[in-house]
Amino acid sequence: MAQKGQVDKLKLVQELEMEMMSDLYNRIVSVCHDKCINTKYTEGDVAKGEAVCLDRCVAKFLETHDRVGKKLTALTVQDEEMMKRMQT
Amino acid sequence: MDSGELIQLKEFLLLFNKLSDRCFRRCVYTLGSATLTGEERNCIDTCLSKNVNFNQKTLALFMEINPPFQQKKMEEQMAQVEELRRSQAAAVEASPQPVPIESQPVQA
Repeated sequence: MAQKGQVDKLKLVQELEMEMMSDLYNRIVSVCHDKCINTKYTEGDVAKGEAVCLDRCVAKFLETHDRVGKKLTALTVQDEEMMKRMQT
Repeated sequence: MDSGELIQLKEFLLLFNKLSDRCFRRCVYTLGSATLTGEERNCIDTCLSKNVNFNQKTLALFMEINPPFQQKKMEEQMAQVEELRRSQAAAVEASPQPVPIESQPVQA
């Protein structure tokens, strides 16, 4: 019975991860579109310069995400420790 | 893990995505290379601390300022309900009382 609960929770967490991945993807699409794609459309194909920009944009975004993740985790841990110290 | 913890995790992950988005938009404006420059890295760090501190301040202010508003709203609602009850009671009082059937004159 307890095992079934565990499995359910795992499923929920996995679903959440999927949801966040899709959120992140949508954000990358939005930002890199804003930053790389010319607002004046002259042709249907993605221009060579735009493709190069997109490549760098996605790489840089993921690097930013990584950095933010590390810092945010550090800050949260720091915060929790402070809360603990305040409570005791 | 209960549903509260799950919600908290979701909030955290959403914040994480939102901050990446915001700080990337703010700090990265040259896409000449595929890695972050030192300046961009510094900017992202500042952006992050700024946002986290801003959130904390805003939360503290919200906790301080919101309760009196909430209380006032509650009181107003209570007064409204009381008013409605009173006006209904007055309407019942003013309406003609139905004559009980037993006391009606029997028509012969």
